[in-house]
Amino acid sequence: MVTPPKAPAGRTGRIAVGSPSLTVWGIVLLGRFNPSIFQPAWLAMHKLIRQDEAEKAQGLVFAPEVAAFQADWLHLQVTEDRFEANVTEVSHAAPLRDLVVGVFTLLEHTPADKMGLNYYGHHLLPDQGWQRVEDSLATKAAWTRFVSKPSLRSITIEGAREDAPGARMQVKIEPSLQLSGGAWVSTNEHYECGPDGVRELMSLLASRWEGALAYAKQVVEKFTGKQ
Amino acid sequence: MSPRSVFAAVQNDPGSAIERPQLIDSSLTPSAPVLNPRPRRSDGYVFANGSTAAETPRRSGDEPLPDQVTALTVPRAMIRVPTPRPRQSVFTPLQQWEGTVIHVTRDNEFLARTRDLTTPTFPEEQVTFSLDDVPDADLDLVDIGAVFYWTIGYQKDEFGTVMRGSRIRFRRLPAWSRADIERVKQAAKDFGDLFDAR
Repeated sequence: MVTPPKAPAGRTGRIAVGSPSLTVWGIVLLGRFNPSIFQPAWLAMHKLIRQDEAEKAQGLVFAPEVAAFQADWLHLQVTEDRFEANVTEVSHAAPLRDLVVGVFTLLEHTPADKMGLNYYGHHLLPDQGWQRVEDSLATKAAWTRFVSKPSLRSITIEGAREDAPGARMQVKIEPSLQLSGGAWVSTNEHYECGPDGVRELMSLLASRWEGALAYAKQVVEKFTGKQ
Repeated sequence: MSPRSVFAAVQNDPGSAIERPQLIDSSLTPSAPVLNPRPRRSDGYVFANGSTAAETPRRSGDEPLPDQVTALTVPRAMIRVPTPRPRQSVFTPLQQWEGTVIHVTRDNEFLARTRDLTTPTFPEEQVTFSLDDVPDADLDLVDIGAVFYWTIGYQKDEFGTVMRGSRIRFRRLPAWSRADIERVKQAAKDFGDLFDAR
């Protein structure tokens, strides 16, 4: 069954500049999933979300290969190989972790082997905006021989951190397409484990989520001067 | 970007990175254009009738046509699943705490130990809350040991009115299953055996 999403209420179009909704915190798992399970009523039945949140869920898309909806603070999207849950307010980041841990405590035999703890957001920049960021990240003089007026469009840095053992950290910074002169910053803390590792992944999620949030905040503060 | 990446973020969504959800279903809207001919799952497109990119017809001896999809190759129902949408009423948090209920009084109040999530170096505190501050949907979760999140911040409604507000949300985790209880019993037995062995 495919249910057309309801028309969004109120204002539509681009998000107001400076709105906190320009940020997303998310948890992604890769593995094998049964999307038809992931319905608002199922989450409410197991008390993982409030009953009224389930009843007022919007953007409902249900098909054998996909389930997606937005239940107040939570945006959930599940396909046969990918589970993704997002929130757009940092105050919902902890409930997001609880929800994902709750879901995969119930579905403890789900074959999932990879997990990403993600942040991405558009940020206004202080004086000189994006130019200051690109000057600090790229040596444009090295490129003038090849192109005139070189500019940095995207940079991805990958590495590891002692406080996130076993994780591959990735930071991506681009000029924002939403905020003129602003920056788009995303962070990813990536974990892999065995094919039956959902319990291990949930343990990592429980222990690392706050650290992943703090890490994203540090990155944003470093490259934008504020959050 | 690998299609198996857990890196969810793609900034270059048409229009907005956090844009409206859309349903693109050629069976319902025959005139709907094929907005993105490449069935890239990482971009949020899935096929509702089971087609996959691997099934896209190829010209003899050619590689797949990544940027061309003819009418014959358009799946019957192509769904663009929603991406996170901004809430109409935006809450900008100033400070957030995680609390644990340590006592529920008879005076419509409860006592909690709180930990500052915004500034984790701050010491824990004890705070008394009124049950009136707890959303009705969470009242049955208020019990000794229950964990909740307490956030204060500014609430801005869709008309731009700003109010300072406080929100409480109780942690929701599934009840212990029979398997969980069996696991704990087994762990307890293992520890017991360990100590008995000594």
